Amino acid sequence: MPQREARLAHALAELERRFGPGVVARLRDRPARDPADRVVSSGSVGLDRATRLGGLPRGHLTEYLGPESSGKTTLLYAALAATQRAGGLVALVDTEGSADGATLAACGVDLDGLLLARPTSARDALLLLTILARCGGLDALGLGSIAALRDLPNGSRHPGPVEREALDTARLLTRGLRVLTAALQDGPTAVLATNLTLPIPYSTLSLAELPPHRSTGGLALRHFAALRIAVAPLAVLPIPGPGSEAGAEGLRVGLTVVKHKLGTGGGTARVDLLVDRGLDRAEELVRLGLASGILVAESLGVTHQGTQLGRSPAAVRRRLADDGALADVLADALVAVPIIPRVA
Amino acid sequence: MATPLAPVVGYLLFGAVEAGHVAGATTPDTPELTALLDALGAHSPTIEPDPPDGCWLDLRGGKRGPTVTQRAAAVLTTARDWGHAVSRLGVAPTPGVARLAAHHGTSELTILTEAGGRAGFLGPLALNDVGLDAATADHLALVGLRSLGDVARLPRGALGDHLGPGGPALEALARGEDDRPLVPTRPPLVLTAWRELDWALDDRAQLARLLDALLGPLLAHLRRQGRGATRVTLTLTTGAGKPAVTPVALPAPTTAVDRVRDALLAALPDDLAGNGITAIAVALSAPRPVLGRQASFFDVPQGRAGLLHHGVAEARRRSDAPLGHLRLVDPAHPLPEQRYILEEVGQDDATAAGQAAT
Repeated sequence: MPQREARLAHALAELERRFGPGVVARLRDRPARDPADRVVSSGSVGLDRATRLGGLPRGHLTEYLGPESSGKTTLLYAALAATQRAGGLVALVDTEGSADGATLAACGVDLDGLLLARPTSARDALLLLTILARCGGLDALGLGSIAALRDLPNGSRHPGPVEREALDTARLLTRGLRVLTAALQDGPTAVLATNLTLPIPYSTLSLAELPPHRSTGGLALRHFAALRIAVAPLAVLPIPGPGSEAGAEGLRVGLTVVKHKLGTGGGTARVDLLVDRGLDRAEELVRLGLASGILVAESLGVTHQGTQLGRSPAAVRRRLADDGALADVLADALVAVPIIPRVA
Repeated sequence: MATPLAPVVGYLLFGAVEAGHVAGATTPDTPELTALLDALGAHSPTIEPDPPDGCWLDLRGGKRGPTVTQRAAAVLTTARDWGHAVSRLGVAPTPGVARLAAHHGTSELTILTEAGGRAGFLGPLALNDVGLDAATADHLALVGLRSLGDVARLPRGALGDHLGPGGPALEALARGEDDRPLVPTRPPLVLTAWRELDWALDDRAQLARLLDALLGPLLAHLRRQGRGATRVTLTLTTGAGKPAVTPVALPAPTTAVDRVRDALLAALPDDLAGNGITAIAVALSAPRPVLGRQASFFDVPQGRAGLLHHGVAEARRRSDAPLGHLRLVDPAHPLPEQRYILEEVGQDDATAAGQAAT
């Protein structure tokens, strides 16, 4: 047996000599991390529960995937805001150039604490992502979006024809994501990216042969993302009151964990995204609170552990929207509840 | 064969220089401070400023010259002559220890060049007093590390995993091993731009627009690096005669185009612009930070914020992409995206941290 171990040690030494230190490692060599510190909150209690980790994993790439105008960016901003509320440091690599202060502030992001980068090429964007992820100083790093990387110039010093440039960008993305996931390993940073699902093309492939969630970035992203969350719009929320033509208050979206490298996929959640406030945390807390028994609807109103919070669920929603501390208490209680009973 | 002299570094702490010191600038730019450093040059071949209230001196002496004590006394006398009556001087083999000696020595002159003097002085110094941030100092106190002596007794590299880049720097300081060479003030960064005109320019308003076009990119470059222009030189070539050179000293470091342009136009004679200008050149001069300063322990940020600082520094060094914070500038603008601007992270700190990391 010692001879076999010596052979293995020799092989490992040879591998390290050829490919550099750290090319092979035993999992037990990695430092253990406090379970509560393995994730950052997504801002939505329902989604945190749906991931079955309590949030979005640090040291991994999480992808929000969905069609245009389905609320991916709002969900990304909500996760950044939740990380900031927990005292974390966040940054956003804005490849679309669309991140404006008013929207970010409306979603609850503290602008003074947000580091924003606006890369001008795909190469720059991936470089910035890797450097900021590797430094270990960030809790959450947003990328909005991967689809826009395709449209940025790839940053090559020898630009060629359009087809060649597209191919270069695809290769760049594959290589960049591989470097990024390696840089993230064991780090405290959760990288959150938004990506666009593409319409099904006219091709020789039959529908059955097409992947269910076809997105930009080719196959690379599907391999490197530890968590893929599909975002699907469910309904438009009209402004309450007479006259439905007044416009939309927001969008109700369904979230499904379609890929999960760290646990079991398939978890679902439902959130409301409001035009002027971002993710409606209060609605979700009241809905899940009532469903799980954290909140109890009695004849005199809605109570939590014997304390009346409001005369009706709507009143509790209004109160929670203004009282962040109370919302945090309810969110903590909800995360601790093991199973949410299905509402009839 | 001559043996090299052992390094003897002095740190002169001469109190805050109030007049004209620009917050955030790392190069002294006041006449008083420059004059004091010039005067100290009589005692030291190399002076490294440590704004706002100190500088390092090279106090090595030959066998025939004055002793270290005599040179130190002369330095203190010079500082007093220039109005800094409460100056303190620390003398040690390494810059970091000399700085601590000046700040925490028991008298106005603390000399730690004798054998064992350095360890005896550093050992009792509390970690709270050496520039460590309070959270990290509390964290270390919890595991029984309260003084530099406690840190020096640890095995080498023990702090690296826990404090990030600040760990090795603190260990080096505790052992008195921060033996970097002194680096004098760097020459200023000079950016130039010029344009030859196809026609003879004789209108002052057109000259102003041309100056804006030339100065804009240069000042934007300085802004990205977190620096400001302190001097601008305008060279105008006219149809007849040799080029007219107009140097202008700006009252404060700036990156505002209108401020630099107005200063130039104010310094320009009225009749010069009417002679028919055929070529125009501008040169902007901006002070650069001292390179060696960043190798010191005192500039290495600690904790998660320190790690992020290093990441930002590396990103700034390797990428030209705008990187910074959104600031509200026009809350009433009809377009939401115009209400905020991206205020870029300065290059000074980033460069400093980056060099400390490497």
